[in-house]
Amino acid sequence: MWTDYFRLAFKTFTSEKKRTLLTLIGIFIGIAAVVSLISLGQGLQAGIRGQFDVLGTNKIFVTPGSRGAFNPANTIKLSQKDVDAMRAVSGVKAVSAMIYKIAGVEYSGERKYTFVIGIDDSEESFEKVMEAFGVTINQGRGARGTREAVIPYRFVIGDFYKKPVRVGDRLKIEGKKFRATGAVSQVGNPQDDTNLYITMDSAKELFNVGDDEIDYVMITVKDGEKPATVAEQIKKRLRKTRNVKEGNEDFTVQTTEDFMKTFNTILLIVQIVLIGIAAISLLVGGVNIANTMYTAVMERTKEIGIMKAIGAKNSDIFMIFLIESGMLGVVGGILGLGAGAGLSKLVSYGARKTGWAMVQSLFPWYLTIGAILFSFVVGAIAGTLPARQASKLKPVDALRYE
Amino acid sequence: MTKKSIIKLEKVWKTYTMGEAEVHALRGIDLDIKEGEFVAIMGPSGSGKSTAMNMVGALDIPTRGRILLDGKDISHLTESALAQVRGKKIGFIFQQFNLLPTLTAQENVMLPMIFQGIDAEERKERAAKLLKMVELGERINHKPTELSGGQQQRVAIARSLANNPEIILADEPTGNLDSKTEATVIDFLKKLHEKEKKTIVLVTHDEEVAKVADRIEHLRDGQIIRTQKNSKRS
Repeated sequence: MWTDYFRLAFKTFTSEKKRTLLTLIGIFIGIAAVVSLISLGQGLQAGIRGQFDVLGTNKIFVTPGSRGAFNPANTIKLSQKDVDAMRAVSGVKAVSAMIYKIAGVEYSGERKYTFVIGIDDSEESFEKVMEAFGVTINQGRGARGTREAVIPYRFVIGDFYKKPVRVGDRLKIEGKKFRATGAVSQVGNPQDDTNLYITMDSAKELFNVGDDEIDYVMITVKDGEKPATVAEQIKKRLRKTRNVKEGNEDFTVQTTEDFMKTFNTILLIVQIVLIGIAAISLLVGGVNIANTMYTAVMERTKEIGIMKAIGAKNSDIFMIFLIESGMLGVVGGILGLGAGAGLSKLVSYGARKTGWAMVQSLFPWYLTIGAILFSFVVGAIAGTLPARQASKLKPVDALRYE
Repeated sequence: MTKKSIIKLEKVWKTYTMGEAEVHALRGIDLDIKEGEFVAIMGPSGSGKSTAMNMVGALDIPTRGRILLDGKDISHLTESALAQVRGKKIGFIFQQFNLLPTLTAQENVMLPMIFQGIDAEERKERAAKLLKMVELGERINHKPTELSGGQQQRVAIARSLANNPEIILADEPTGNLDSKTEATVIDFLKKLHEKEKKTIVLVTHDEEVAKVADRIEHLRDGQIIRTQKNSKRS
């Protein structure tokens, strides 16, 4: 019985090609938009989660200011005293302070501005701190002393300077000569992939900053300790050393989990807004299906009469029209799914080409199944009223209809 | 030996309300059609013969009076229950053939069987057999638009037989055909009556066509004014 309803619906599609096609486009656009947005959203989430996974969940980040974002123009800084206080908190395994500066970096006669990060290697080796920071040195070694630097991914692939920079090459940072002793692998966003890494000592000398101008502190928590608990302790200590009241903190303490949460919330809001907009087009697609189905019921009044005369019950007619409308939804949905997948792949390809490797396109099984199911439901809902109208037609009246 | 009644109309009234006015399409008709009979209903347009056909074909229910199909009162059934009755017991042949344009001849013949839940294999086989019977065995995969009027009406005849109904109801079956094809269609109806022992109700305004029936009921103004037995037959 069901397969027969589907066959009947399919017959109508092929005989009303133009109208079917136009109706499909309505659903197609909506589903394509929703699918590509969800796919990219999922991909972005997975990409960022991957970065946090590299970082590990046993990290705490302390930044000056109450906003919690790294900002080299921030006039509020953390002091050495703050760093020492953090080090004294039980549960803290290691503390790495960092300085962020924008500097002119010259290579092979070409001068460009980029971030230069000074890394405190007094407690742990440069390599270890970098690794804890989620950045892997994949060529050469870390920087030592005051004349060595580790170059970022985009220097190596040659899309920052005209010429690719190689390990062993010389660069000038703010006029001072440095040698590239190592290079890091791709982080996945074009900004971080131009960060140049030097030692804290180099940075202090180069930028002429004192001990109390720290931009960023990363803390590794001892195994078995809860990062959130340790973070609370750090906040308490910092309030004391910086002499601020609770609620008026001029610093921000965040765990990896906090970052994830913040990020997920932002992503969720963005996704809801975008998918909401896409859903409107889906709604329009649904209305379009309803319109097509009403027209179809009108046009096929006589057919309905014939089918009723030869034994079709109201429920048969209802199902025939409902399935036809549901199938309009499904076919539009499948096409939309394909187009959405293509669009999403295209966007992620373009993003990768411009350095945003973390923008992936993901297709979890529930997205595929969900999109098809959802488009069927949209079609079926849109078809309910027209199908009902069709099923209620009196055979005598319907047969007389011309 | 009196034969069993298959359709019986008892004092059937059908009244339509047109705004304020009431129009009586049927005014207390009594009609008794026996099993295996060939009955023609004749009358000019407006005589109520279409309404009478709708009653006989269980397409509509009366305003007053009773309709008995195989002894069972169907005058108060719901539309879906009537559909079931129609699907099983009555085969329709219409003036305009009324085939579904999107379906092939075979699919059109299979359609009534779908609504009776007959499985696909049996449907196919039976449809092919019926189309062969109406001499369209070569054309089972043609769509109605690819067939002549006479061929379309033969497909409709095959379709009316799909669920092996006891009654065939033909509403002006030759109205859209030329005299040559008219003759073949009438021949098929005769064959159904004589060989397949079907009860046939033929609605027509054509005296020549009506002559094939055992009995002609003349309708005027919603009432039967004359019953004419055909002596040449029976």
